[in-house]
Amino acid sequence: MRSNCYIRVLGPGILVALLSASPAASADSGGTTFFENEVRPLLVKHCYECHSQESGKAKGGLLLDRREGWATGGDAGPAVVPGKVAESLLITSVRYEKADLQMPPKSRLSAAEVAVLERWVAMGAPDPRGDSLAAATQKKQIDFAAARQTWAYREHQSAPVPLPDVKNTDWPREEMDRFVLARLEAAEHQPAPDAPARALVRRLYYDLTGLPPSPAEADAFVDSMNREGESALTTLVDRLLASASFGETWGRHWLDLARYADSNGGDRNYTYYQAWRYRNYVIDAFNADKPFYTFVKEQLAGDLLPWSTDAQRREQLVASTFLTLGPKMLTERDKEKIRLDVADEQIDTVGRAFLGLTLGCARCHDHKFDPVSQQDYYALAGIFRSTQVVMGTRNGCVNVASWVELPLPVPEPQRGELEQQVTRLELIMRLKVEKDFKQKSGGKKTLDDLPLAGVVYDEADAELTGAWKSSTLSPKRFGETYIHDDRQEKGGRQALFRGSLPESGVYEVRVAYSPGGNRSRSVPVTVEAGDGVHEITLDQTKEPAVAGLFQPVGRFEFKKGARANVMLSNRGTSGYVMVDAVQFVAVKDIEREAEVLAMSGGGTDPLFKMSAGELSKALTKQIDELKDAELAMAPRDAEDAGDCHLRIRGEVAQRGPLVKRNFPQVLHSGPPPVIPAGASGRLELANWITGPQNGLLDRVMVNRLWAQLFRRGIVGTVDNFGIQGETPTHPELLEHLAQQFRASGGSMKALIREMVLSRTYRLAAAPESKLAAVDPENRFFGRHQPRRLSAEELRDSLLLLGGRLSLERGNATASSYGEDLDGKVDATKLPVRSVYLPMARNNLAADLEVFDAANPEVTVGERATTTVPTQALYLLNSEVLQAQARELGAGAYLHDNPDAVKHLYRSVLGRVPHPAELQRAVAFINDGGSDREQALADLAHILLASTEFLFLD
Amino acid sequence: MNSVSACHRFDAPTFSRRTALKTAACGFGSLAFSSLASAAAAGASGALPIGLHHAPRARRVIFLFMHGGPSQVDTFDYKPRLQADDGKRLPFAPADNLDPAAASQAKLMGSPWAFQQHGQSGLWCSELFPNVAQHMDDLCVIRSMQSKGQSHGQAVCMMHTGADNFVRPSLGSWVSYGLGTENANLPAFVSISPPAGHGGPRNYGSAFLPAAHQGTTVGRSGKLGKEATFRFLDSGSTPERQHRKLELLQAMNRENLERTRLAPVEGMIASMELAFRMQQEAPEVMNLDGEPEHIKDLYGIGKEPTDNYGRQCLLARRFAEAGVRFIQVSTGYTWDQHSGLVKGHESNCARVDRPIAGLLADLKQRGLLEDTLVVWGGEFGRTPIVQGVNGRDHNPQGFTMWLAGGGVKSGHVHGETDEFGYYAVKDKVHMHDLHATLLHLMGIDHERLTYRYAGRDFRLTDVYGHVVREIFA
Repeated sequence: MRSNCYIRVLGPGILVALLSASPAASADSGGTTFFENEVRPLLVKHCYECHSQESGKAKGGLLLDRREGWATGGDAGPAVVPGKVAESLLITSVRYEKADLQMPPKSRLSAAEVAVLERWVAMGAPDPRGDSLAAATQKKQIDFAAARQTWAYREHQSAPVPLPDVKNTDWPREEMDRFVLARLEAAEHQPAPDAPARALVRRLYYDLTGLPPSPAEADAFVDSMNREGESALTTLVDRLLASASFGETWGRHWLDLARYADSNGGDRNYTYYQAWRYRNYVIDAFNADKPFYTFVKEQLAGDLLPWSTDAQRREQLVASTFLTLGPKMLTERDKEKIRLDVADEQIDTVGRAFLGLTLGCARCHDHKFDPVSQQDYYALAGIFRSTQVVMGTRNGCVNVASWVELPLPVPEPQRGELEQQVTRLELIMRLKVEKDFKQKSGGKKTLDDLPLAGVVYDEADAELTGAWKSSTLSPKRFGETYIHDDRQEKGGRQALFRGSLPESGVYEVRVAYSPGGNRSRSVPVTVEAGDGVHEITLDQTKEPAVAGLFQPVGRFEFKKGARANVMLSNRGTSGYVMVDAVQFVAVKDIEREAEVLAMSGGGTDPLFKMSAGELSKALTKQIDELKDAELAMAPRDAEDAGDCHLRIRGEVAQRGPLVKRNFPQVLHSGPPPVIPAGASGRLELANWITGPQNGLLDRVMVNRLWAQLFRRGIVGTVDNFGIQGETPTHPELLEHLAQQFRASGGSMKALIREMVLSRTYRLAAAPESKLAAVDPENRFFGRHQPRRLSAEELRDSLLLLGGRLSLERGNATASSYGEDLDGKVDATKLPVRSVYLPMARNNLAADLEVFDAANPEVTVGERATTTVPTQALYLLNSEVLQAQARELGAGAYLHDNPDAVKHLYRSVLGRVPHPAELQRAVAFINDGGSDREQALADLAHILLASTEFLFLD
Repeated sequence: MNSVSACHRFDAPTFSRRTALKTAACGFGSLAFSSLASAAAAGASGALPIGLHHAPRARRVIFLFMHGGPSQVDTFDYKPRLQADDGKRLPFAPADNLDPAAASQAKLMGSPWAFQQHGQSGLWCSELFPNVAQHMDDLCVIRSMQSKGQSHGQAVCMMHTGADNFVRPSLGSWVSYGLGTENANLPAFVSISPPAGHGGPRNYGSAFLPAAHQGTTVGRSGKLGKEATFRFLDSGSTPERQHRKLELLQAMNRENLERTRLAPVEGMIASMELAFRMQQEAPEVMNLDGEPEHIKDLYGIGKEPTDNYGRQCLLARRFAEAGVRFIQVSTGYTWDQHSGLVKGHESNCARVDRPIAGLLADLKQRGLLEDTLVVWGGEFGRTPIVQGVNGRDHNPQGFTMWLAGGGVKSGHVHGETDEFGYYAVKDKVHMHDLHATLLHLMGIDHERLTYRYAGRDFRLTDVYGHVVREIFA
């Protein structure tokens, strides 16, 4: 980029740098002739397909069919700098010099063709084509001010939404009912009648606890509803809301949004041993009715919030696991890419879960539809890039990244033990790498094997003077070979390593050689550092201190990009002079390692005497122990917190300008937040997002709660409040609920309670009503929309009816598994509530997956409801279902025939069979042959597999 | 959130035969499948089935996935210069993904295997593939493949889903979504012995597409196993007993439908019938016992080391015949020869050479090769420079894949790598381009096969992909 002045052309999202210098080029007739005869045909033939108005394409924002096109250039800046061949990207790209910029993309131009373009640029790029760029492009600006006034994004209004007048004043029970009724009355529709008590009790049990009522509970409710009416309903609702199952059910809805899983998925499906703490945190938050704003704030910045008790600190740290749960590509070799990809995943999840905004769409360009600019994206990316999630290495394997785990506050002396344990683990990992390195011989040692890699130059990188001899004789060597002077030509041979260091700082310089008795005792080493030239001598008869191969020769200050030269020579030596490699290691890395060593007794630890194999075992054991350690999978602010560069077209390597950290402009018109130095800005983000001005947060959440209970949102697209989403069917109702929610301090339980006590909630399905015909999608909410049981509800109900379900709270659910969760979880062996099953990414329990459980790799606000043959196969053949059927059959066996059938109907469907059904079922059992128990189990199977059981009225 | 087409949503209480049909088949190709089936029955009617954008050249794909990354310069991309310069330094910079030790010396390693030209076309093939070599006249070899992802995890996902870092639907699931199934009693997308790692199920998953489109698996990690079958297929009871149960169940379901008038209830009724039929048909398709000995022999079944992959390939043919749209056959993660190239590649090739040649011959003799597209390749290739003393590192910069059958030229070479077989330099085909081309051959415009999710229309090729028309027959 040559200029820091940007305008947007070529439609949304494409930034083009303005050329600051005027591209006055010679346009003499000779030049024009050359252009017309030689250059234009080339451009037409090879470039216009993707870079001309005629083709309708301006890839990378670049047009080559007019002078102004190449002069202004595309995303990467001007394509041609007249007279300057080396600076012209057009030439760089046709020369195929850089791997990521090669044009034409499919095939190289011939050398002669490249020469034509070079000559043209050298002569000042004469180009008579005068069409203006503006003629081919449209400027589009996002109108943030207008967007801030729309129903979704506007701030909370201070005046309460007036309650609408209704004719049928007896009908509403809660304020929300008046909004629903008013709209029905306006359209001259009748709401459906109330559902029968027996349907209502099943609906309430499933919606609030995820389980069916027992036949006795159902009977009791029907009785008391007949006797006491409304108060029976209130009593039941309050009881269900107070049960532990409430949080297990509603927490699960939130876990869908949080893409909760117990393993990484991605490329390495490593077990997230500590994720369960977050799951339980969410369940507890719903049960304790934690204010929604606290709930959100803790998940975004729990690690940064102040605390007054250890218990609070624990809770907050665990809550922030929300940010770290995403799937990651842990083997990505480009560390900046993995960092930005993790940030991207967080932005996408935060955007959709909290704000119903598809912020992730703006990574590569301005949002195509919504008022979110690429600037907005990178303003947030600065915050999340400054949040450390991925770090270090996993399992002693250098190429695989690990993730941050922070110790939870525990009482002393446990705390000290835990810290000790964590550091010991780190030590083992390092030792294992080092031992592996020492063990390997025969040319296998590489950078990846070094405990502290730093920057290494092999002897092949050195500039050699004189005839050095290459050798592979000693197995102790770095890379394939090393060189030595053969004790010849003393004073005439030298090896110069020209280093280049990624950042300024103090580095330890180490020289690799294979030691031996015949080596030289005083090899001159010259180090040219930022603080001058240093002369050192090296005794190569001695065993090098690091990994038996690298010997430190001193610590020196180096400047990034400045000279970092190390020269070895055989001047004044008598023995062999060996040259294998030179390593620069940042001293701060060494100090960190030293700290670890000190904590383990400075090398007296028995660990140091172990073989690589023993260490490997110790490592496995330590990881095993840490599975249950008091850790949270929490993020922390990164050491290098700061703003992030915009990335052109989202390409990690294509840096645009630095973007100041900020909140999305459509929701925030004030100045950017003041972020203290060294802080990520997450705390500021958490405070802002939950701030009283942010109406969108409330609208999105109340709509989610509504959608769970009424089967569709007031805004049908619960995760998308943007242009591509739906508009609200009842805008005033949405606003009313959002205001009420805010006024209640964000009480989710209070709002759910009001919703299930409303008249609207208790309506019958009324499939034959006129309303069902005119409003099949139930946009009026004038009747109740039946639904299929969720995957969890189905599985839990089956186990409950078979007498197998444990209602125990689950804890460290994944701790009995190994380092990864691939193919290891057998849900059929775990009779726990589904919410406590280990959620293995890429390996969801089949029972859950078949019935559309949320894919834990992405945030899911509304589950799909598919109908596929596998579901039918599951219902017909799954062993889980058949086992419960056998249990039920055995339970019915004690009864005589008609009673046995009634017993099964009551147990499974919660009702008595009609006479015709009874007759048919008895006949089925009698025709089933001699094995009556089998026949009863078959009948139970049929009832469990029936759509009546599977669907909720 | 998701604008799943109406058939997947549980919010339309009106019901009809049409809904049931859609519910059963799924995808915008839901109607296509019936049209296709009738078109197939009626012979060439000339009319395009709904769901297709243009006339298809291939009705199905068999994708032979060589997990780990086979070396192009030791198999199908013969480089005399590499042989001549064995041991010399690469005259240009190696890619920056390499093991630094190997990169710093950048020493070329000639192929340890001899190459020969074969057939009328004179295409080169090394002695690693003596049986496939007999089919060179059937192959369309792309020597200029490029992909994204320097590590296996990224590159395997890139190859299967078109994305190296995000969760996206797999190629097979897009095909299923676009075209539905040709045989309602079988899934549209079957993955045989799929990889467990490197994204695992993501590579046959449906991500945000409806779950119906994800691949159905048989076996795992390159191994078929003796009892390989679809899950929940075995009823554990006699057909008579099950039929009796199903009759009562369906009677109850119909009564429930009468009462509730719910489309998904009707869908479930249809689904039950379908499941019952699938239960009868699928085990037959998966039973190799009835195949004559000479066919088993063709695939190397019953012999080592070819038995396992031979059975996988034969199973693939049987699925293809039975109307499965997209069949993947994976080797285990065996091709990653950072060291031990000679032993490793020899053993890998010995296991797959005969089965692959057998599959090609068998498809051909049945006339299936004409409308079946066979695709061979790994997630990337390997470097012409040596790693260690007898290994090669990952190379997504330039590698070889080949296609055969359904609508592509035979005995044809497309694209080139440089003289050493490192970078693709001519007629480069990016993985996105290959995806676009495969879809095109199946009658789908990759730019028009989209799915609305989270406010955006997604496609397999993201914003990339060019159809490589030059390879069309």
